[in-house]
Amino acid sequence: MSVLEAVTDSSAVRARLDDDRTIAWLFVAPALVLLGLVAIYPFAMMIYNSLFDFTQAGRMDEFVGLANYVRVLTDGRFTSGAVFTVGFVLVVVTAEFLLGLGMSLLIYSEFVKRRQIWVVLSLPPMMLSPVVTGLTWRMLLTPEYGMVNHLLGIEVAWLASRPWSAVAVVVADVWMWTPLFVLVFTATIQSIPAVYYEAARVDGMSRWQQFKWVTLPQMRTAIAIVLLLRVVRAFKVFPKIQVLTLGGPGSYTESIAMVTYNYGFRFFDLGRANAAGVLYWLLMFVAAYLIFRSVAEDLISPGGEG
Amino acid sequence: MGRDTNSRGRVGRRSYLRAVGAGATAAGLAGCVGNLTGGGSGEPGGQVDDTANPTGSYEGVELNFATSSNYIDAWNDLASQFSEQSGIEVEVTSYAQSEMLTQLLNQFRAQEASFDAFISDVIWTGSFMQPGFAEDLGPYFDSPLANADYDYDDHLTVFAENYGQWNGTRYGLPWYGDVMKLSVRKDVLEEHADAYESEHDESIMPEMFGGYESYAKYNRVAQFMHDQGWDMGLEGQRGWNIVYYYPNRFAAETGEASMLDDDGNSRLDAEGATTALQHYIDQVEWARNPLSTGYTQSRDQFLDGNTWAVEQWGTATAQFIDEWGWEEGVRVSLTPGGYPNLGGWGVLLNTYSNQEVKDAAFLFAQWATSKEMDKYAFTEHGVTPTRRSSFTDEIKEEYPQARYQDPEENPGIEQLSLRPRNPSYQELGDTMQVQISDALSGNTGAAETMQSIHDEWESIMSENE
Amino acid sequence: MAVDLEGASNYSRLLTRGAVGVVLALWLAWIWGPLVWDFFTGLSANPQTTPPTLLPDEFTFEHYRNVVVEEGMPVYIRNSVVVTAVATGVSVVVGALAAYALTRYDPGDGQVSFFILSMRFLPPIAVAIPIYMMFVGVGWINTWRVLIIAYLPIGIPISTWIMLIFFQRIPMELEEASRVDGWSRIQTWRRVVLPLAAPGISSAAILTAILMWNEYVLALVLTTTQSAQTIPIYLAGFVTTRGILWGRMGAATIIAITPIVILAFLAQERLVAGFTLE
Repeated sequence: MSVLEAVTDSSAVRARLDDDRTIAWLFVAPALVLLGLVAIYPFAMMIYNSLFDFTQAGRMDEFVGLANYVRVLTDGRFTSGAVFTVGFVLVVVTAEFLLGLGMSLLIYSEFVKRRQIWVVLSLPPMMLSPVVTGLTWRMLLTPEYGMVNHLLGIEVAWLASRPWSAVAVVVADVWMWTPLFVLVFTATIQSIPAVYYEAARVDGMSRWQQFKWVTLPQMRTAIAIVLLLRVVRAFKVFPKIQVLTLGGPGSYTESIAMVTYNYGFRFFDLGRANAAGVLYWLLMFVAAYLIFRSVAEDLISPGGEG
Repeated sequence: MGRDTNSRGRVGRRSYLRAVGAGATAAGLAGCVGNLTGGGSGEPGGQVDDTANPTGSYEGVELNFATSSNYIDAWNDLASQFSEQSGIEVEVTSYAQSEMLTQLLNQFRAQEASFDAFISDVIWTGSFMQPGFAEDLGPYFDSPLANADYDYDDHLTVFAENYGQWNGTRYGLPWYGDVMKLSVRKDVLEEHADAYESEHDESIMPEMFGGYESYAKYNRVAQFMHDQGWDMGLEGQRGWNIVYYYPNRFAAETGEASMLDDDGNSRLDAEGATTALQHYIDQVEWARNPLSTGYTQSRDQFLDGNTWAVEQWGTATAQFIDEWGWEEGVRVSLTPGGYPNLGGWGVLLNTYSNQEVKDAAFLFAQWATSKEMDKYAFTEHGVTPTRRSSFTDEIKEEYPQARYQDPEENPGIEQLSLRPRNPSYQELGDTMQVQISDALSGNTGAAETMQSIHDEWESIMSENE
Repeated sequence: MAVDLEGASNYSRLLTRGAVGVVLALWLAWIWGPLVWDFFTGLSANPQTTPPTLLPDEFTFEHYRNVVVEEGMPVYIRNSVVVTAVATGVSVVVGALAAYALTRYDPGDGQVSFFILSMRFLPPIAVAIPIYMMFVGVGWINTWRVLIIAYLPIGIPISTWIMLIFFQRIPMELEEASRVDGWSRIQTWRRVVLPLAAPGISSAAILTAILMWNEYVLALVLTTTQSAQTIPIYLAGFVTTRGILWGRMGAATIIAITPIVILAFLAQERLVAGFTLE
């Protein structure tokens, strides 16, 4: 802050700085400059590099135009990875949303006391590394030494057969991320003023109607934010699957992030990796933008009007 | 090393960047990796004062050695012994096996390799030798650094070639000679021998060294044993293991050790290639949780007494012998059909280290793979020998698994199946494990799977020429 | 906000209460079961048994000793702490400035906040590849600084957005009032805005730190040796081709999650407050 203070003390610039917009840009500038350097510039380089062929030793070879994109898009692994990832995102986010909402309502129902403790006890999985989540569930789901088959008295190849390997990946993700929904939703429910419910009861609303007309509207912003955060995050799923199923059986549970990583750092083909990275970004950007557009009013309310 | 194409690419890129007004920054970033230039100068062994004791001239030199974490204990031991004897400080860094290749190559590309010598899995050798990341050891053997007692030809030829040579040039010294073996529960098979023999008119037991004559025979026994309530061990989970198991079957069916011919064309369109996969698929039914089984699981199943047979590497075989008793509870042999897959490691030097450190690293590698240490690493750390001279009677008496490595006792050891040892192996092998994993889980048939892998391999080999 | 069941009999109330209790117990088992399993695996002399048992037949601290002494886990912890602390610090400072300006004046009419948020849409692997290629030539691969740089596109958007939510709720009137009182902008910021924003800033810091502490893909690509690698890379190393070392893995997992869980518990009110949206 001291630099800024020094600047504002100089009366020559003071007048100009008093303009709110200038100040605002000054405040936003560090974020924009840093993101420009560490995100936009590399991103531009990625697009540029995707037009070249690279040697195995990682050296740029020759300009190949869109050939890398053609190779990536005609690779069944990449397209099936994209399809799997989209399906994965839809399933886990829906499941986490419903389970998280249900548990939040339960914890904040009149039957539960000491709610804060229940919320806190629900949190740990979301603080773990995806690697830890993957390893933990791998131990639990291993057929011969794992607890799950033993407890359920079944013999399922959780990590290596269709559709169970996808189920395993989803279960691990739901375990890890439902707590985030519980955290956000309970915090929101808690903050809904009790008078709203009193008014609703005076109007003779049923419990369902109270939920629909009081609780849900009050949770709109929270729902929007948490969905956006989760969708974006779920699109990046990689280490959890890497540890659990390695993408198998076949390429059944391979995510788009895994395929892209393989191009660059297992097959050492940086041209294809860059092209795949661009396509991956496009897919994610479109998905995130669609959600963002539909919830934008809830998110952006400048001037503290909310 | 394709320097021409490299500089062409860089020029093109530079002028393009200048055109878009980013010329200044481009210089720092040009071409992702600039020209790699070997550090240091001078001849190998140039600073040796006393040819009788070359090590003495390198006292106080520090070098870093990179190993897979699987062998960290062995290398820590070797490094500390060598440091004590020579005054050359060897620091050992370990990498997770699954990430080691990527991590080492990332460093080579960064020209900042933090290690001066390293071990390389047989199937990584192409990735290090072909781009010129590993040091040519030829001049070292002609220098004062060479130890007259080293006797390079004492290493078994298959090991010396596959762990250390590329296009006739010596880049590495063989360190860990490993070959797959089939272990069966002899005691269990004996119980069922009469029933099987009256039904099939052949012996249920694999030959002591040669093993079953074919996978067809192995499968007959497997099916029979399954009906008796005994499953075989089989690794069918997606992973590199599939690219151990399939080549065993491929070579046995086709009589070709390698799945690529000398010109780099795929041999996977051969009829035997499909038969080989069919055998693998058939076994899924007679095996214990095959789709969820990776390396350790199949080992543990056998150790726990839950399976009657398993194809495994040397370290596991040694554990089986300890657990069940050699030729009592367990019989070990070559894999069916007699083309076991070659694993194992070599020690390579980083060509970008400076000459003094490279010299010291060579001395360390030479010492660690010497006759004496070859035996020591085996008896102390279970590192299977690569040298003929290690198969002494005492050693074979105490460690029966060594017999299988001794060509005099087990001539079949020199006929092996090989995974493609070239820089594209990562992609070739990845395609293979993914598609075979799909076939094993019942999603695709053998013939279409092999055709598809064949096509992929042809395309990978032509793209990456 | 609790709603009671009007007209419900005591009997059915009891029944509902019981059902809620059962669901909560199942929930607790679902959340904690896997963690308890990790914990006992790390203490078990024989982690793999058929059939599996929760309580080890023989307890040992050998796995902890192996992880800490033999495998040098403290080094990975050090790397994680340094990288997480610096990258979180930079992200939160930069993010706080941006979030404040965006809620008060919104230069660019919502475009800027979307731009900052959209950085979260960059797939980590898509950031990793170009950053790797940028720094491979200058020898920055396998350093703390390259990881810190690579973590900024994660940290700045997430911290900006959490604080955005917070700053929105600080009434502008307070600032206007203090300006009328003759305080400078900076004084206002220090004495009015900052104290009110402190919970938001700390919850942004905690959540950003958790993300970075657990980050895997960038660290996998950008670091190569123990000297710069972080805990998730170390943990992933347990899946080796020579088998998964369950015992060591359980021990290492417990060591890795303990600091972050303790931090989160200590700061749980803040964490929850970070999401309490009016």
